[in-house]
Amino acid sequence: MVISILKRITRGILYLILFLFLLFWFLSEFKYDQFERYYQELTGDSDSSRFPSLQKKSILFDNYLCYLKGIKSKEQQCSDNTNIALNKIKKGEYNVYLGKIDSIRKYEKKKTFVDLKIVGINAYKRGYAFVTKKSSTLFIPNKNTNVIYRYLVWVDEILKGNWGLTENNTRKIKSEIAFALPNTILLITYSSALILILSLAFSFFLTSNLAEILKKPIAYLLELLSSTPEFLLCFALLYLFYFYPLKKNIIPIYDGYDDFFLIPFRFSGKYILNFLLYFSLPALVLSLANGNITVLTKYLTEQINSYRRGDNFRFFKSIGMKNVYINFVFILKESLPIVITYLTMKIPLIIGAAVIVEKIFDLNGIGNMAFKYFNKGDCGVILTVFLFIFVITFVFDTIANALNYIICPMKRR
Amino acid sequence: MKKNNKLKIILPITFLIFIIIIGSFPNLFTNIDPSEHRIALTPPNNGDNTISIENKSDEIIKIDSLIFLYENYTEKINKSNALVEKITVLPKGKSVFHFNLNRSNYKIEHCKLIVFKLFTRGEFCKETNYISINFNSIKNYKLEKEASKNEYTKRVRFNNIKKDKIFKEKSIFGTDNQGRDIWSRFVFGTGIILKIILFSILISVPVGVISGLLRGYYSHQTNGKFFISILANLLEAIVWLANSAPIYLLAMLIVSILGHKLMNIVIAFSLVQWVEIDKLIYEKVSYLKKQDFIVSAKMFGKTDMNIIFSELLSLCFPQIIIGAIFLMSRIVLIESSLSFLGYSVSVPYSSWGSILAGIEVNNQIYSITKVWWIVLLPTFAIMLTIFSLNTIRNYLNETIW
Repeated sequence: MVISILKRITRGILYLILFLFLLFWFLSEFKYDQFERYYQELTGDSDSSRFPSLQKKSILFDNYLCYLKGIKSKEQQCSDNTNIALNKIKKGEYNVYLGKIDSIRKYEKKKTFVDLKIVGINAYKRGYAFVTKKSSTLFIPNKNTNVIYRYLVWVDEILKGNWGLTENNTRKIKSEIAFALPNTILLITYSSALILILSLAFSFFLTSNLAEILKKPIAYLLELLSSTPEFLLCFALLYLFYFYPLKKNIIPIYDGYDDFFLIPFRFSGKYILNFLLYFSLPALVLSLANGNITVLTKYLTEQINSYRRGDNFRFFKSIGMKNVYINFVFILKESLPIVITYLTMKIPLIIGAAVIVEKIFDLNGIGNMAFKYFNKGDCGVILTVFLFIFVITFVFDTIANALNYIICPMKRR
Repeated sequence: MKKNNKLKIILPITFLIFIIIIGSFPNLFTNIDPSEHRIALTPPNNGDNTISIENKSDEIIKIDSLIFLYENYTEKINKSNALVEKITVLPKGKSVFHFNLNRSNYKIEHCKLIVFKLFTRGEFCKETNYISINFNSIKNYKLEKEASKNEYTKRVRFNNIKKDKIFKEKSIFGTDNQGRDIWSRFVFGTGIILKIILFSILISVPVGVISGLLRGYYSHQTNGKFFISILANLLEAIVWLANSAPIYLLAMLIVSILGHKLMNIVIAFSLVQWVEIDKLIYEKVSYLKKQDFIVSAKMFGKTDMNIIFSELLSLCFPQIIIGAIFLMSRIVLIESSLSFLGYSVSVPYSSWGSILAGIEVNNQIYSITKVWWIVLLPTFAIMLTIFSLNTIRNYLNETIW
């Protein structure tokens, strides 16, 4: 078993490297368009010409060079735009490059993509200059450094623990992920547990002798729920539990930036209860959406019905065993491997649905993070988000295989 | 029993045919342009009146046309009632338009509404929150995001003209927060969704079929050929990646970087959805390749490609059909969620989910009962379409499989 897990891990890592390389290449091809716009941002100039005129450039870089040397820039030469630009460079949000756009100098290989600085005093006289935001330098294509080299530099930085900065607000990607990822993992785990519990409950109810009238409506209701998109389920549940005046605040809505991710480490009853309450509606939506409960309920109902036609069931009934005991001990044990496999196959879909749920309920998860940064093409964040999603999927897959190995004796043989 | 089964399948099929007809011929079902903004104001007095429009953005806004119309209870709407000429550019700052309401035939109590149609295309629609319209500086209607809750509900209900029989082209299902007719947006949005489904199926199904056939046939059976073993491993890797990729995030990424165009959305769906077909075909082919007729075909000297595409493909048609129907329901589900979030077709085009996005104003989601006229139509359409497709799929599963 250990060897098979190791094989899986190595295969998973190779696939992940391949996918991230494709994504890196895709992002860097489209990042190039933003390259030239940064000059306009820096100067506040709304002129849409591709290359700035020599006069504007010389004022900007002349002042910047004076600033580097420690000399104050002459007020007569400084315009408002150059002051804005200088302030931004001082804050460290931008790097300034002197040289042609398609040939960045070789010394950059020694620096990390967060530490690149202006070089060469006379280079500006050649006639071209451009600026970049610190965090996006690796993703900008150029002739000297091809995409494979830049990708390997990025992987090297990731392995060293330097995940870079976000482009908009220059925050550390590490801290953003550390804040968002645990909430998403907890939400996914909670919803998976709810899927299992609810599907078991429904299947046992549908195969029992209780309330025959309700069985068909419940079956249709489950089909209808599987046909409902996640955001509509969110609205329906919000209306039932929050907006409806008589039932207001039966289940509280998450209303702040509390650090729920520390709950497993606090082991405090109050925090665990708060977590269960606040995350109950989002987890319920995730479990009901995408037909997860419907499919599992159907499968478990079929398993129960087919088991009851067998000889084993008659024997157990003849010796006086109750239906509940038979359901839990024998039927569940046989169907657990497939249930666990099904749940792990659905993890990517649940993560995707969690994006919508986090947006509507305003939870601090990867989904909300994706909304903040994907629109602006923040390459560092995009790559790390996808990296973690693949890692989560892979980890859940491995856990499922291990559980199947433990539960199912056939696999052990 | 058989009649009940047939009824079960006839109703969903009829509903889907109805949806296809609506989407294919939208002009038969509505005369109103889906990108038309209708905002109604009441003129305060007879005689000389002004409408001032302020462009608060930093740019000159180009628009298709801005027409002011005048209507009362008795007259039907037509172009000769336009008060001002078509304008195509809104410069920065205020623009004031004068018009005279002094007509002897009409009394002021009859001149209840003046509606101006704001035809918009392309980028301008994004900037509608920068336009404020003042009617004689008495009533101030701001479009979209700056409106408060009370103003929003007042404006939308004001546009929901049912009892006043003024216009021939009235909004049956009301208008959204920007004054756009919901029924016309729904009708044209149906066409958009049908196109997305059609193109996604046309790309995903062949790719999934070919991948499933090759993967199913060549798994654990490379015959010692290096090229085939590489192909099999490559297909495994691609299928694993496509299976693990979260469709929502991938679609958001592709649309935000490449743009809100129809083909980009189709590409985003097709990149991942073909795996569902691949899985079905792979299972079937893995079972079939061990059967006697395949073994005998090999003994007769048939090539692998011949066996795959002549023998195995024909036996996989039920799986292809059921897989395609499953893909359709998934596409409708995912597309409605993405368009609700704004990651689908952009204005002036609409989708079912983007109609529902009208209930979110200033990052507040209003209770569905307060904006029920926006929620009703798209909700039923989405749920019934997916439910019908699932019913048909389950029925085919029982009969064909």
